[in-house]
Amino acid sequence: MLNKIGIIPLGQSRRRAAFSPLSLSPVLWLNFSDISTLFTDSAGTIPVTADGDVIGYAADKSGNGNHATQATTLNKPLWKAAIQNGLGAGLWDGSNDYLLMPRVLAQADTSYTQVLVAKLQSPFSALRLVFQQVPTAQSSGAPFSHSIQLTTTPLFRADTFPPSGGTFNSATVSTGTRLASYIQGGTSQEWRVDGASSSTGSGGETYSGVTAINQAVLGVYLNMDNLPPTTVFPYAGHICEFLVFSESLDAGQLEQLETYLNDKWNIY
Amino acid sequence: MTLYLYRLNIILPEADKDALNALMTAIGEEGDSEAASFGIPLSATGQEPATHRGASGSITEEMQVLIMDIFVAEFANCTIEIWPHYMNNWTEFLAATGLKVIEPKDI
Repeated sequence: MLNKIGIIPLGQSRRRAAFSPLSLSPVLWLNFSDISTLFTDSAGTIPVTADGDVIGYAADKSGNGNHATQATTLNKPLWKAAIQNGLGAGLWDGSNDYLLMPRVLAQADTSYTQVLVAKLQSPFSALRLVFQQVPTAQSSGAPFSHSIQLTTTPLFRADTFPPSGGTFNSATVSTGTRLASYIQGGTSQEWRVDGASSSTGSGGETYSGVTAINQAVLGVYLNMDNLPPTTVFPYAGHICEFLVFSESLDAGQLEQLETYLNDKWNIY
Repeated sequence: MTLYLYRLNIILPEADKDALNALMTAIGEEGDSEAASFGIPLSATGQEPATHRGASGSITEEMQVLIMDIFVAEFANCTIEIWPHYMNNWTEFLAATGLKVIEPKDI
């Protein structure tokens, strides 16, 4: 019902209680549109203030202290203003940019959810690593876990631990800004893209090697075969927001979160 | 306006990696280690072993002066390009050198 001046009366409005991702208890929440959480140095003391500033520290808004850092200037992604819906985002240059965090998912965790808002760039001519967990120690065989990969076609694919024969679950995407959610619930897998289910599957082995997986990487494949590690399969594009949950969110929780992110970023 | 006014594209011989990683710690922003600056493994064939290392990223005016004008001898064996910070042309730079990134076939 509209009143005489064409405005929905306050008493009958579509107001909703403000949703916050914190209500779903993320273990990691990086929001590259919130410039107050971004710093140019890895100690988190010099604020990002301008388009083109490097990102050396992105505070984890989950409250778990899993802050993302990069101490090497040439490896720092950039903060770019007005990338999507007037909001800023991080730019990974496709050469060697990445951020490091403590491990956010347990090594054997097969129930988790990863939610990514990213502006994808073409061409998709090579494998790109958006997220992975790796050892901090030098480790032959380059073990890793809980990865999100962007491959040619293009498509997203996820795997808990590929080297042991884990099963990829993939979802086709197109360039532009996308909201992608990966839900692993035991052996049940699902990719959702732009608020709709894109693919489902089964699988999900966990890393069972002796090497401790104890750090997380955003934006590159960090090969720990040698130290210092080499950086390959670099992600090229913007990362707007990234959340990780240590449980598989249910349909209602996903709808709340995806609606919140879409309202914010105006993706679809 | 950002202080990171330039993009540095750089390729160096593998043999110079340790020395130049150490030098970058002196050149870089105070408080941050630069010991892993040159992490992209390169060779003419894209196969092991790495003959060169590469990096690309944004740098300040001060870093640009140190690299191009002060530590000239230290960077003498390197291929270096300096661009405005809004450029992102690592792929084109690498292609022009004839080198390829050494990557696992798949993961």
